[in-house]
Parts: sequence; C-alpha cells; structure tokens
Amino acid sequence: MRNRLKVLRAERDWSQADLAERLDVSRQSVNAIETGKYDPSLPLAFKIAAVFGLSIEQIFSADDVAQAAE
Amino acid sequence: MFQTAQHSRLSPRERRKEFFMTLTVVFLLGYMTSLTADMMLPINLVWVTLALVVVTLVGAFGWASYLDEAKLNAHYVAWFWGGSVGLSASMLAFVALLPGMLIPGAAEAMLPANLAPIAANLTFGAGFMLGIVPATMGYLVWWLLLSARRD
Repeated sequence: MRNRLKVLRAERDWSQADLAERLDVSRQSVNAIETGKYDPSLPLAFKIAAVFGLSIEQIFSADDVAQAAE
Repeated sequence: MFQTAQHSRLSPRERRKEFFMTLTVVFLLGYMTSLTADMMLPINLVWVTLALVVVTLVGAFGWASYLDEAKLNAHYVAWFWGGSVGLSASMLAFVALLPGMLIPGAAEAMLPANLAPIAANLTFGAGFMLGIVPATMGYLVWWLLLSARRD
C-alpha cells in the first residue's frame, strides 16, 4: 500500500506528532503508516481522510495500481 | 477551574491512559500494602496472589486499551510469530528430552553426577519453564525488532 501522507503533511506544515495528535494515535504509528510498514485499518483510513479533507483514494493506493499509473 | 479546563483538552486516548494508569497505581499500592500483612497464614498468600493477578489483569487491559491500533498490531504480530518460533524451540527441546522421559534413569545419566540428584525435583518447574520461557522470549525479541523497525 502506498500513501501520500508525508506530502500532505508537508503541505500543511504538520509534524508527525501534530498529525498523531489529530488522529489520536502515537507518533510511531504515524511514522509506521507513512513509511508503509503498517497499513491502517479502514476506520483509521477514514479518519486520516477526514483530517486532510480528502477521500481515501486520494491518499492511499494499492502498490500495483500505483505502479500501473506511473 | 483551571484544572478542569486543562483536563478537557486531553484526548480520549490520553484520558483512558490517565484513568488506567491511576487504577494500576491504586492496585499496586493495595498490593504493596498487602505485602506488609501477616504472611504466616496461607490465606494471606492467596490474597496476595489474587491482588497480583488483579494488578496484572487491570494493568494489561488498561495498557492495551490506550495502545493505538499500530502498536496493538505489533504485539499481535510479535506474539504470533515470536511466540510460534519460541514454541517450536520448546517442541525441539521436548523431542530432544523425550528419551530421558521414557527410559527410567536416562535423564539422570545425561546430567553431570552432581546435578543428577536434583533432576527429579526440577521436573515440574523445568517443564513449566520449557513451555513458557522460549515463547515469551520469542515474543519480546520479535516485538523489539518490529518496534525498532517501525519507529
């Protein structure tokens, strides 16, 4: 699973800790999601989408879909 | 007033953490207090053991309830894979020790002469440790590696 968390965070000038606070998770979890080492649950993915005001598809994409688009 | 306003700024996760940490400290204090009680009667030992069980359970549930999903997932994964590796090690040790269990006197013969007399007394404790220690060690090592990788 690929995601645009780092880019979206940078656009808003948020640190990992800022995003973690908004999502009510730990900074380590944000880092794990951002680096693709952990895929969030659907409820957390919806929460992430809501925090950025985007849809889930605008943030996350499956590896094969992302490769096909490149 | 100031404290109430400050408390309301805590996130639900932080409030849960605060609640369960307080509860755990209360039970720990209760446990410590029970240690000062007269330990001569076995019933006191039962109460102390129960207090320890309650502390462990409340602490474990409380601790797990404020972990977020990625951290919980790390524990699930570590317990599954690390625990499985540990259980496999237990199984290997069990198979290696099997002849000693089936042939009378074989276990004593495998040990140095000075350890042979205590071998029989070690059976229950050693069996218990053989089952739980490798799995726990596997879980801890797997969890530490996974946490370091995700941090």
